[in-house]
Amino acid sequence: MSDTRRQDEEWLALAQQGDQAAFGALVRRHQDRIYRHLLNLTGSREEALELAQEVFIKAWEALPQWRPDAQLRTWLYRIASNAALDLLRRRKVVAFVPLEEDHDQPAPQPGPEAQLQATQGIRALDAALARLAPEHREIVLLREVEGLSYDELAATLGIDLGTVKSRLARGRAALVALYDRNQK
Amino acid sequence: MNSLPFPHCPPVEDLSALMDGELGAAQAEAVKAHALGCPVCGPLLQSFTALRSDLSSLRETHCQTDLAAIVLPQLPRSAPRRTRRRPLWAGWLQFGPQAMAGAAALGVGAYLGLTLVAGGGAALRPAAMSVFDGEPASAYCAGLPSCSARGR
Repeated sequence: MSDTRRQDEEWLALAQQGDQAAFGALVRRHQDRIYRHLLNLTGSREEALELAQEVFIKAWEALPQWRPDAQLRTWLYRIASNAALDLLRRRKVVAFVPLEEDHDQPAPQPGPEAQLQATQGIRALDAALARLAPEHREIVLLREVEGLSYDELAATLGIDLGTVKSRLARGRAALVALYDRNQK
Repeated sequence: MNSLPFPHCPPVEDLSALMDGELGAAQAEAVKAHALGCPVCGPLLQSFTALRSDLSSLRETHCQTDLAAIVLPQLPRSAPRRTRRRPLWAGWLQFGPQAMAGAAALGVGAYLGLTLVAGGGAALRPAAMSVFDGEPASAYCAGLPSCSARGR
């Protein structure tokens, strides 16, 4: 077991007894990945921020049901994914709007031409992701951005390994097709 | 969707799993060797690789807000409590006495109704009513003779 996971479990045990400082430490450790996943799923910074708060409040409420054999990270992703998909259903949109211009991005490459290419590439990627079916978007992002293993994907999404493999392949193929079209 | 257009192409799932190191060694070698010479699988595998590289740029996003500072004040002071799911029937238990009384009332009503419909009503009629049984109702009319069956 990794040190991070061991520390998570110690904080979790304290939080289960009502130690809010320990829960706060857990929130600070995981807030970046949860916010990022929500942002990539919803495309809105405001909604991602609001949903991230909701995720941690739900996690607090569900702490008594926490089982040590589950990973906190995958458990939080699961709550986050459900919250984001609920929001997308409420919005009744399959595609989300492109990310705002001031969305946090990696440092631009040197030179105006390279910077322009990078910006165009990011926009094309955002547009392709926006058109991807939510279940494909979710699994591709969890694998490629969050780095979840197949076992973790199965646990997070509540599906078997065979479905992970096929859904991920379909998601990738669909995203490649959409991305190529946007770049042309 | 799993089969690519060429007859010997592996399923797209295998190309995708190859990217993730999820194939066994022998199968991974076979898929790699095929992709090297295939005009469909080779470019698709390259596209998957390029996509991975582009998506990695999304990892740089950070939450600029201290969520703990927002979330903690919203939590109740007490420790989170285990909420047990009660079975559906459990909710009805709180209405026990009322439910029993209601059921009893319905049962008595249904019994009386069935008794009357089945013709056993006479048994339930008050004894005082039996004095009228011998004569038709018109026999007691104190009005005009035309009102009586005898007067016709």
